[in-house]
Amino acid sequence: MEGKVALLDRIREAKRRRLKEQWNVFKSNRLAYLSLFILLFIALIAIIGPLIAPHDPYEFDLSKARSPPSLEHPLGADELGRDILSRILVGARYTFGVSIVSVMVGASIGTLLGLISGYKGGLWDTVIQRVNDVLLAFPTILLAIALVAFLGQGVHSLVIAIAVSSMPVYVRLVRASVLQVASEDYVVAARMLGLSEWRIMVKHILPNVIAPVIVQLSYHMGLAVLVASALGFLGLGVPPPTPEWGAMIGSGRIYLFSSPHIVFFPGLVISVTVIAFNMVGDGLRESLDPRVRALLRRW
Amino acid sequence: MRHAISRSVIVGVVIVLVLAILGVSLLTGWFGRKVETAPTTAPVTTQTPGTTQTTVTAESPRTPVSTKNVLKVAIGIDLDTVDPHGQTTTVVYNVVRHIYETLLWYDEKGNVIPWLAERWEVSPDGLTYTFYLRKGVRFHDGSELDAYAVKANVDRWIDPTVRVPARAQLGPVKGAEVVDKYTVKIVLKEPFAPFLRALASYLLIASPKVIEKYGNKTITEPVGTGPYKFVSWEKGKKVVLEANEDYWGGKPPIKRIEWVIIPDATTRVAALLAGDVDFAYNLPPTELERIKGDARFQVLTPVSNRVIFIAMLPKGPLADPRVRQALNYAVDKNAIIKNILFGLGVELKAPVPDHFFGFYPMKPYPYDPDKARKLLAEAGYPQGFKVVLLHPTGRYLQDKQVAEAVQAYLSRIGVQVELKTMDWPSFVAEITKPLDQKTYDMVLLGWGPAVADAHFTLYGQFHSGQAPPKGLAAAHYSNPTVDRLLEEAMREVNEGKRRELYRQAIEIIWNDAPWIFLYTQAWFYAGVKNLKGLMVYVDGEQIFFHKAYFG
Amino acid sequence: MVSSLSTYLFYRFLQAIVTFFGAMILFFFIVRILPGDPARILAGPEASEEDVAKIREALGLNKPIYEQFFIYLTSILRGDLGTSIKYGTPVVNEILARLPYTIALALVAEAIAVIIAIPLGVLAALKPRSMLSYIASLLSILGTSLPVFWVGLMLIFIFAVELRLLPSSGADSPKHIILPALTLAFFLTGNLARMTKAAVLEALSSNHVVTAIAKGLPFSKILVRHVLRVSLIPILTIISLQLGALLGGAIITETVFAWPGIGSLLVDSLFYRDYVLAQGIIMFIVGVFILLNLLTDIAYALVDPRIRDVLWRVR
Repeated sequence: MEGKVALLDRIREAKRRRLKEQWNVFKSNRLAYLSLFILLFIALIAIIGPLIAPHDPYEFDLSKARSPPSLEHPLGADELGRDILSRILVGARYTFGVSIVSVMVGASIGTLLGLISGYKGGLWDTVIQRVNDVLLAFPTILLAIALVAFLGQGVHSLVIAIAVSSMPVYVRLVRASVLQVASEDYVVAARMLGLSEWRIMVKHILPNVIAPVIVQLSYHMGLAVLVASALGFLGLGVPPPTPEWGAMIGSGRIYLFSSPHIVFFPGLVISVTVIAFNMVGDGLRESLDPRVRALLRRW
Repeated sequence: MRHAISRSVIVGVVIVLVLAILGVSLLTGWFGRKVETAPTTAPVTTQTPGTTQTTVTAESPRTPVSTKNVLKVAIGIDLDTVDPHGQTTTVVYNVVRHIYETLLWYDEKGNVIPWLAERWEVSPDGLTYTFYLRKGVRFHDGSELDAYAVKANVDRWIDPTVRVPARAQLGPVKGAEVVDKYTVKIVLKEPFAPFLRALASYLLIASPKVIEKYGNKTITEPVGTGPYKFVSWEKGKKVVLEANEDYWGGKPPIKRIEWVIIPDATTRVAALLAGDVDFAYNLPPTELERIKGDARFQVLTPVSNRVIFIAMLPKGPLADPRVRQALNYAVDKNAIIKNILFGLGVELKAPVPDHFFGFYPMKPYPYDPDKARKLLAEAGYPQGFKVVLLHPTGRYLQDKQVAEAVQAYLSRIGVQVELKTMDWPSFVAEITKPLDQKTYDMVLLGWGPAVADAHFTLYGQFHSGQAPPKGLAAAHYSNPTVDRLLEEAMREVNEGKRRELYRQAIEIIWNDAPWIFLYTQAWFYAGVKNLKGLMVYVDGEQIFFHKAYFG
Repeated sequence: MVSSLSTYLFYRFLQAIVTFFGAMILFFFIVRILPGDPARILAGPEASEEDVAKIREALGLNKPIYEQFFIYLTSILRGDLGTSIKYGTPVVNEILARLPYTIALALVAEAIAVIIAIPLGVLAALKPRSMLSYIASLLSILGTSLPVFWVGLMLIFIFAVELRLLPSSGADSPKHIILPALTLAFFLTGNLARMTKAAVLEALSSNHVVTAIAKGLPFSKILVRHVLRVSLIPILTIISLQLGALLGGAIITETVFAWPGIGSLLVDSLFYRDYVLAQGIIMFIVGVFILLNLLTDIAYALVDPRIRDVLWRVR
């Protein structure tokens, strides 16, 4: 009895130590560390954006159209005379929100399917894999265009489009990890103990395959921002006058050379966000893989 | 282990080799992937055609010598067809119109002038048009232009088994009759007042040999009588035309025209600035000031035949004319023209452009948001209401931006606009649905007929019989008086009486305000300064180079 | 236990075919369910209803969709990809006319990316906390976060307009490929460098390398024999994925540079609802993609027999 408690304690202690070590390795990657803060900052803006915006992001004034940065409009005005700074601040929630939600949805469903496909094998695996292959082979933009044509324009279409096109990667990723893990001793033991399949999948397999998923997630969110922006660019994203960053670039594209500030500032924040997501992804990858972590610890 | 090493190396090497071989073979087969070449029928070079007596063909007695032999023009879309009777797109028409010609044409002011026909007569009942053809005109394949050739073209136009999308635009044509070698009659089923203008715009004359060869299939060999001959079409890249040395109107100064296809508008600007092309079509209005200020270039901003408007469906609050008028007062059209179109537009004073036959100026609705709110309150909507505005994106100059601006203006008077856009095919499908199936309340649309005659806009847009799905009358407008006026005007051959009929129709339509009347669109072209002799076509959307030269 | 490589290959090949047909069926129905009538598009808004109806009939579009599918299926099996609705010419001709441009651009862009990214990635992995590594990371990420059209247009304006060194657009000579290839390479390099760094890092921490270091082998030898060989597989995978994506995904670059590739042909054909042409192009792109996947999997199986075992058993 005592031994069991002590054992559990020691397990918990080991877990804590491992977590701390992962965090330290992550911190040692200074770019990743900095990027994490940047992302948190952007998340903050996404929440309080409307409160700190100096102007109403929808208020327009054609006589001020395309005016360059000035005291009144620190980042300039867009093609309808709306304040760009305010639009960026308020738009954070759309861009950031869309990318996070859509990728989370895609990753969750993908992980689930990957678990089933890898663990149960057989017919499940074959069917899921074939459908997945077809989805993977399809260019994302095409999928998005078709979805928007079906479901109409709007945030919901955007989220579904990105979710559906990001899903296949997770199915593949998780399945590959599951195949490696499934032959490990503890899994075999669990099966022999007669635990239900679900329990095994969730409690035993999932935690061990989640690491690459988390890494991929962070890259994917950066990608999702770009896809949302590309779709906004094609006119398929959120409907105007919503100040989504990608849509702002899309609308401002033709003013690229005459009034570059219209594209530059939203483009800048998009780039920073995507870079930050990718840096964090790199950092996570290094800190979560035990062998690489060991390598970096030594170096 | 060792096997694994050598295996993977082998696999890697094989892949690289395959790619390399592929790459090399492609790069060596690089140049000149011409898909279509000139027709194999050799042109017969006989004497230059004579007779140029009375005609006002606007040609200079001495053709200037050009300092450069090749003209490169950048256009935004590729050709879809070279069939003379299958044309639907203005830019494509512009290109093939250098190869083919029509019986009549327009001068720069928009008057109908003789072209392949030297003169004509109209019968008193308006049903029979007799054309006396120019003699000695030859097609590029050597065959002669005569009444039989014209008849062959007319027959093809009305042949229901041939794909002729613009068939109905020529009017109710019954057929053609050969009177003698150079005289041909075209007979109509009913009088059609704009017939001569339609003839100047639509019926391209192709060689009868080609017509016979292709029957009712799509013609893919362009052989006409025009100043330029077809050389090649590399799909997606360029179309090359060569001067017709024996052209009846005098050899064109420039030997070769290359129409280069550059889909992106900003890249067209770059191509012009870099000197890769000499002339560019449809440039983005944002570059207008920059290029105007550049001494190397000349800028053309002709007004087109295309009116841009927002058609309002007669449902809900929009069924009340006061509401529709209110929306007209709520939008500042001049601000839109100035700030969003960069001046490339002319405010509408009637549902048709100023230069159309039948135009009559009305008083434009000034920008007056207070009056707008008052009218809304009068009609029973003091709190405003919600509507859906459907608009295309990238179809017309700044269409999306204009829609957004309108949305913004309307929000100021309490009308909440939800913007909806789709790609062009979906858009067309949507606007051709019957009224009860439509999923929007207003639509941003442009209407630019090839013929500068009020009939083509007013009838097509305001006659109740043209409502979708039968036609494209976007506002589903229905007024029996207007219907009657338009039908009479269509048949009335007397110009004075026609104008009066259109004046009455325009007055009624203007006050009923089925549209938010926006503007007539202008286009933006630019070219090198020393390119002279350009003909800006009367529709503002085409440029002709048959008398162009580099000075 | 696993019989042979050939059984695996055979099975894998079957899978590829199934996937291909699956994609074909999916696309066939999706594109035809989209709103929009190709006959009306072809005819133009001014055409009368009767003319549109005639066009529709001539194209066989008024038949029920299942009948259309059956016709399509039989013609595919005969090797006939159909006739383009818009151009009236065989789809195969249209694709072949533009294919060389797409392939050439893809190869050149990928080559540039490989030359820059792989050494960069390897160096970054060898010195992961150095300034070089950070700069490499930052540069590579820049590639993925700038809008394509911006990069393309900037290159045009700098090199073609201002410096007059290179042509602004088109595809008439080898000089014309430089700017579009650079634009694409910009994005490929970023991704590839990052993946290379990750693959090399993993290889460095793998068992044989650790053993080799412990055994005291000279580092350069370890690098080449063990590290690079192991990381070659994931790197090759990425390269093949990128090439596959470039086939249909260089649309914006093709548009900006007026490069006549099949990506922009695809978008155009969708725009005109030219189902037949669109289907043909998609089938081609998907087909090549699947083929590339197949080749990579084969390479994997050739190199690492264990993977074969695992996959076989789970079935």
